[in-house]
Amino acid sequence: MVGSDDRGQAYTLESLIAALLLVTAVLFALQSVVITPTSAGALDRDVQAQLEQESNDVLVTAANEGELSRLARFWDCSTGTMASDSRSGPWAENQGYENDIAPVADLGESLNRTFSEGTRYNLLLVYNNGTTENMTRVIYQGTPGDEVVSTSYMITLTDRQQITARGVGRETVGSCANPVIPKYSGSSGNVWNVVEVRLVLW
Amino acid sequence: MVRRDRGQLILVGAVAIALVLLGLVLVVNTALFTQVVGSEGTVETAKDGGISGHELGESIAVITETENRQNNSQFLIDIAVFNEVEDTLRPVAQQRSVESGGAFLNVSSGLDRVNGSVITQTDNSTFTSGNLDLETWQPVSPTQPADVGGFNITLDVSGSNIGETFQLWVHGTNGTASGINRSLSITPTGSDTVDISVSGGATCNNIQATANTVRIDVSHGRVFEDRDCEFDLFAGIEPGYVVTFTNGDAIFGTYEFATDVYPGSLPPVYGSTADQPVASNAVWSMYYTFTYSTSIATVETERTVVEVYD
Repeated sequence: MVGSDDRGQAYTLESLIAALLLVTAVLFALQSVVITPTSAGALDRDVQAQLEQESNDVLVTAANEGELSRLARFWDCSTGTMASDSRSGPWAENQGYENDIAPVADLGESLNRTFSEGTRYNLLLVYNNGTTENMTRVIYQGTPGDEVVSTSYMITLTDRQQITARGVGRETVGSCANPVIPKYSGSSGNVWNVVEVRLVLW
Repeated sequence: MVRRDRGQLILVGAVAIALVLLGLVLVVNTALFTQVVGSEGTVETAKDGGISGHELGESIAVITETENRQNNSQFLIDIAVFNEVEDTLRPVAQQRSVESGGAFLNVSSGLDRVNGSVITQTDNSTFTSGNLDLETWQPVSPTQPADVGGFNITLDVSGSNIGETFQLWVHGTNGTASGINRSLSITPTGSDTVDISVSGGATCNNIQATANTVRIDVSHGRVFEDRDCEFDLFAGIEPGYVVTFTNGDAIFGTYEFATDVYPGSLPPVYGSTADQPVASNAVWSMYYTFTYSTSIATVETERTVVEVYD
């Protein structure tokens, strides 16, 4: 009888532990499920970090070659808009360049080469006239989705820098009749404005 | 009976140990996950100074380049640059920094710089020397080899001689005969077209002038009137350049470039009027430090050099 009592107790203990084991296994599995979607998703934390690093590298490289500054001065001084370009096509205020190619050679190509077809991006010029912040769309591929990566690089324009588009002769930033980027109201010297070149990817 | 119960208890004990091990795995797994998130967050906050030293350095370089053309004294250039930074760059950078969770505080000059010069010909003319009007001459001579930057040419195409070729030679290794040399050739081919080529490199034919103008960024190897025309005149040549103009009568226009030396013998190769090349004092490179604060730290950058014409 004593042996039988012990066995009952052991059965109870065994079933309790088995139940705990099952609950723990389910908990462990659930935890794995939480991690798995982020690691396998299109824009998980690692992919986002990589995308951010790549976009930052593209901007820094372009800045080192003077491409960002040339882009920010690619104006049509007769219309006060970004100038059209043989490859980029015409520019429209809300749509940016028709062919989604930046009008300066290396930047336009490196953007298209670096980011695969599944990645969409907007390239923007953000500046302040002293009272309000304004934005010019250079490349606009739509409203960003939920998982956005954004990087930017700040450049400075001075009034003696040349306009870089074709057809403007010897126009400079300061002599341009209709500048796309206005002079910062607080500037009394040669600095025209400070422009943030922003790349938004999703 | 007792022996059979013992077997069962051993089994239960083994399962209990397995359970403890599983629990340990869970705890370790959670601990690792927490550690990664924690460290990433810290790094991101520290990076969010709103403006990087690289961006600030580039902006100071652009402002200095402009001031170099206006002042003939390095001291005045230095003052003007940091006034511009204070008046315009700082408020805008401050605003951007605050938006990104940091606060840009100030920039200070190291009051330490490398002096150089800017050579300009601001009025349309041939690319000959100043008082002697030499067709072949050396704006940067072998007696004073130098680093060269910010080299821009603006051609007045209709005023240039059709069919004649101007060449800009760059000699490396301090201009010695054994050094590498390369040339940029510019040939007006019509009243509004130009051919440009670089020895051993790109050839760009029939570049169409607009408003009678073709603008060449020699340092970056770009022609603003033709986005497909790219070249690298300085490829493989180490600084310590000698620059030679040959057949300077062939083209008409303006140019400017900077060097890290001041020409020792200005006259007779440099003139005194705007249609002749003129040399003036300039800042070639300078030092600065800047300070910003974030929610976790106030950071003062190390003394950083700004290469104005890089």
